Amino acid sequence: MASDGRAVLGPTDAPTLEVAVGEDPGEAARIASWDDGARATVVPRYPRIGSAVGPARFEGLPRLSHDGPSTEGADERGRDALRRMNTVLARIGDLEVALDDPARVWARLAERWGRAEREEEPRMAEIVRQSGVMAPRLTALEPRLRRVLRRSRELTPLSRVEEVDRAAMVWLSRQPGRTLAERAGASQRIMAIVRHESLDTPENRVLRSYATLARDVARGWCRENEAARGRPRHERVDGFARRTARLAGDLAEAGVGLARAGAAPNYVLMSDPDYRAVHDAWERLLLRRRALDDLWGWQACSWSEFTALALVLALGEVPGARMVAASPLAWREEHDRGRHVRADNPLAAFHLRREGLILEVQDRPRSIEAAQGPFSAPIWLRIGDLSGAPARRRVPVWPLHAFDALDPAAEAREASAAIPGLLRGSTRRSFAVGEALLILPAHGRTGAATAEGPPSVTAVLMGPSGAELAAGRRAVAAFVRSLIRSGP
Amino acid sequence: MKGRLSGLDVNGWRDAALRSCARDDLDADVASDGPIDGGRVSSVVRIGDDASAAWIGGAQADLAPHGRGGGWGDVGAPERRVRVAELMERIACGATPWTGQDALAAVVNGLAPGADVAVLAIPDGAGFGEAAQERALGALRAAGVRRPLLAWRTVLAALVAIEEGAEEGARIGVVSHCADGLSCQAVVVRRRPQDRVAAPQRIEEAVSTAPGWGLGALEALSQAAVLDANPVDRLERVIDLARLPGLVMLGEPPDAEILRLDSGAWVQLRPPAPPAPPPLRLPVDRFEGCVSVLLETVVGGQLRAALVRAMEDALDIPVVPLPPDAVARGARLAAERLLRGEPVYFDVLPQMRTIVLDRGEPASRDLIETDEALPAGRTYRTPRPIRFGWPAGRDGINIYLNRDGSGQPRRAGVALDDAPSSDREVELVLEQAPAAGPARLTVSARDWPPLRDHPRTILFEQAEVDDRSWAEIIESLRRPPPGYPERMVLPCGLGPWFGTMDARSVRPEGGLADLLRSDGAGWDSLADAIAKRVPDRAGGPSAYAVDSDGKLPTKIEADPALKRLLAAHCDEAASMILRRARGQYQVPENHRLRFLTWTFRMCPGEVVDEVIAAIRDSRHPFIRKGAATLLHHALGRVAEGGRLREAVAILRGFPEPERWLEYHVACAAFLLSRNDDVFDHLTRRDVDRMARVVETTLARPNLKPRRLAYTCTLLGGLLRWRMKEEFALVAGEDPLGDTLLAALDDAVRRGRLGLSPVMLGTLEDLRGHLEGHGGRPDILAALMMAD
Repeated sequence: MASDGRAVLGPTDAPTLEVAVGEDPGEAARIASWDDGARATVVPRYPRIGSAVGPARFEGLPRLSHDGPSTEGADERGRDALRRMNTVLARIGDLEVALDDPARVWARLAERWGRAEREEEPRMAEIVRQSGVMAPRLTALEPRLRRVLRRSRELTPLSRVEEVDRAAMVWLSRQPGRTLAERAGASQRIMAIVRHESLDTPENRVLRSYATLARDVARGWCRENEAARGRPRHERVDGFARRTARLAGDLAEAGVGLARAGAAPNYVLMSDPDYRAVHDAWERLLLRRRALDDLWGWQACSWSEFTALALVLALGEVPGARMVAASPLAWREEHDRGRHVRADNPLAAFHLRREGLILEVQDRPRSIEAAQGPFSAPIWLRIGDLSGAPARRRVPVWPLHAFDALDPAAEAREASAAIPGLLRGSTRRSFAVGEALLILPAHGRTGAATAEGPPSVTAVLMGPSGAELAAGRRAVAAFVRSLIRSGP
Repeated sequence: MKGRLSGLDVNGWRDAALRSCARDDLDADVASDGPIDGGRVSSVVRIGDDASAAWIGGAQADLAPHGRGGGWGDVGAPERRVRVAELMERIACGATPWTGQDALAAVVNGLAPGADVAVLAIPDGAGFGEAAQERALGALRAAGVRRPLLAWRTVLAALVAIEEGAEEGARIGVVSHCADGLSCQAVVVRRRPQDRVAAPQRIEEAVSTAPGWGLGALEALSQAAVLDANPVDRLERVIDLARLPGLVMLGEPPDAEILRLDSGAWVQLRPPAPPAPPPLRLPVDRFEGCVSVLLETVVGGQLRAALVRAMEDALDIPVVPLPPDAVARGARLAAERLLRGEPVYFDVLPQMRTIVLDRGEPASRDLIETDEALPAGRTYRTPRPIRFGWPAGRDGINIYLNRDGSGQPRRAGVALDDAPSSDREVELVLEQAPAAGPARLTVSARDWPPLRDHPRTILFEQAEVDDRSWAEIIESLRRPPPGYPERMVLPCGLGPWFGTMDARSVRPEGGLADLLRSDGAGWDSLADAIAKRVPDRAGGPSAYAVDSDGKLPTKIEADPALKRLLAAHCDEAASMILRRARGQYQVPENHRLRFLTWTFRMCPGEVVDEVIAAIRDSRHPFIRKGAATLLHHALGRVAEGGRLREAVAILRGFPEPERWLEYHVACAAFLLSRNDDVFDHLTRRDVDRMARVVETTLARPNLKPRRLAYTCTLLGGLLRWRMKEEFALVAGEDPLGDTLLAALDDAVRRGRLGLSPVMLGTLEDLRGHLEGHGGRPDILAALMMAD
């Protein structure tokens, strides 16, 4: 879990570092700082290449592996990790859609996650959107690709000559003979201007580059969402992949080159609606790829964001729970160190009518008590009641992000053993910790394990879709129910 | 059909939006159809800090911990939360500058994110004026709405009724439940021949009644009931943050509301029974001829039932209560109609009037030519611009405006940097759309660059209030103030100094310059030379050696030797004159005095004092034969500044008007025509007396040209009294003007044969001044030169 700057981190570590304020943590996201303002916990950024020396030494991590045929046979672990990351991002992205109906944000999020559990719909992505919007554009473009006539000089039969230029006249003057027929020689051809049609224009180069990139991205998406084969969305993207592949091949054959990214669009690309759409779509895909590179480094933060949403949904599903407060959520188009949702604390507060309890979820509280600091937990649950006394009970939640599978039982045991030590250091504290929750990436497994304490620690395996998601949410809900049975 | 449509009902108690999805992309994930609940007893909250701060509205804000007290930590600070009801109240009557745009835009965004076309319902009545409309439109635009429209709640309720089959031509009453009472309105269902659908027509502003039934008042009653029902310590400190009172009023109380005290502890509020409804009185005559009365209210439960009952008791027309989302539904209908180009509703713009001069007569003109109601969302522009003249020489004009239903008339000033040199035609145009902010009045011109290139915009609300009634203003504007002759300055030139240049550019000898340089020149020849009017070159305009303001020609000014020589002569003359005045030196002539007074205002003050004394005292050393003419003319030439008071006193001491001599007339004419401040010392009685002089002099037979010129100059000088009294001596307005005009006409008729054509033209101009339509402003100089 926690580690100092000299530690060597591998694929089974979930890195968090404790830093003093003012110390340079390298590239890192702060997840908590103590209320004395002197110390903070940060999450460092994962390297893209599998190993790096930053605030900590990383070794043996999977490499970021982009989609596409060029990386065929590349690091399979990297591709798996990317697929998991994309799915986590898709679950967080469900919130953007849910925000469309502000009165029912959480209900709609639960609905959409339910669909993800049943894997009814493969994840939404830019390429899915483009497969719908761009297909008619490409159909419209194909028969009317812009061509140019290029002039060149060739030996042309006399009957076909339409135009001669100076160079052709000079050539003719040097030929032996007195009449034109004599000068044309045995083949009866003279040098003349001919025009050849060419497709190699800047706009068609952009079209080819787009088709190539879209083909790669669409194939990558289909591979990631293999489980959804046969569903309309998958069919559409698959068809789009085949179609763009064919288009890219045709254009390459016609001698169209590849466009350079970032070049200023020409007049056709700006003014022709179809070409313009192609240019915009190409830029969006390029942008997405760059954003993906960036998100790779911050996937531990995305995982923590996903966990917080899961926890709120689990609380909302407790029978008799009513939301009394929820932070407004704002969607960030550009992620900020792996986080897409902007919110304040508490993220949500629930009144459990049957038990008379009030539960608050705090996600990355801006400042915490000094005694909470050593826990390095980005998420806290706070449990209070209607007696008029301040809430004392708190539950740390650790979303552990690791590239390789972790053993829930071992992690729970380890945490349970560590907590008394974490509490011992503090003399003044206003809270008690009797339980804790660990959320581990499922890596294809399901289940949970509890180390009976005290303090009792539950480790839950959770994944972003399918059975992993369903089982994980059930396990978190069970943990919450166990919490409220034991009273305030 | 493209774009997302939204109908918005933002009232602060039960906000709602209805949307239609008409987006053409294939992104099946975004379902944006159907109703959006904006929350009950809604608020808007501010999240983030400083640079990242943003307002969030809609249902999310209801649940937000923001602004809900210290118990919630930093986010609980009260300034982070504003009730939407309060925001809507501030928009309507709040102080300027308006700071709620971002917050209101957030409310709109919370209700209808990404709407392209949105119709926002606004309360009907004078309370939601043009400024409020503009603010609301600004907030809609800030929320990203491309085609915003405001529509009255009453009209939207009627729109729903029309959609459900109200008959064409029917009159429908609408009662709309607002924050401060009930708005009563009656609309007519109308269909224009070119339209497929009928739309409600609003005839006038709604009448607001029953303040006790206002949503704000009902919530206060309800809050008191909640406090009674929940005896909890320290509850008063957080009760304003509770939503329970509002929910009780809406008839949807939850089984409990959880509040957090400042200590962080939780308390639970139990809902009370709804409060007893207040009594209701309705303006029954407003609903005369209506087939039914629609009731649009967000209130539910027992209060709603009580309101319906009270209305049924008060009216003998069927009362139709509409569902709570009726206004949002009407707003969405309106948005759909807007997109299809169909009429949403018809509205009348309040008539706006201005005053223009029609052949000299002030008249009230309507800027809105039609009585026809206008379709909402369409801007009305005065089809034929109101044209009027911008008088020459004025760098600013006042435009008077009067609008129906807006109290006192207003006066708006339009100012320019430079006054035009001749009268210009300018245009006034009104542009306004119903329920879409203030009328814009534009003053422009077709062919006058300052206004053609930069038309000026006037806002009625910002114009100055005029306390007079419209009729009084028109009366006061009967005529624009007529012009008057400008102050005369006799020109100076080189002619008198060096003699007239002939065709070969040769000047003769014997000019003033030569005389000054020669030692032996006598004062009489010096005086003759300086008093002579000589052209600079043959056939050119003649001029004096010194101008009547005492300035020298620039060429002389640049010649120090000559200037010194002149100054030395002046000094010598002045000292001799003063010695003579004291009796220390005696000569039987006034040549030095004549010389000195022809330097006009270069003449030393002590000498002027002696001139005044000499006019008063017949035993003064200056007095000799012919001195009276010199002294009076001299006074007219040299009096200035503070000595004008003395000069006016001397004018008053002149004999009866009938017995004025030529030099009396000349003296008065010079004083009035060459000074502006002389009018500070004159009174209307003086003017009347001198006018009498003009009249009697003009009536004299055998009037010599010089005397005629002096008299006319005096008349022109008298016209300058208009500086003090704008309409003085205007024929047709001032009887004196009529008298003078008749006298002048008579004199011209009698002396026609003896008058030069130049003089005749000049007198024609003078006549124009008397009649008040103006004439050449430099007429006085022309008169002096014509002689």
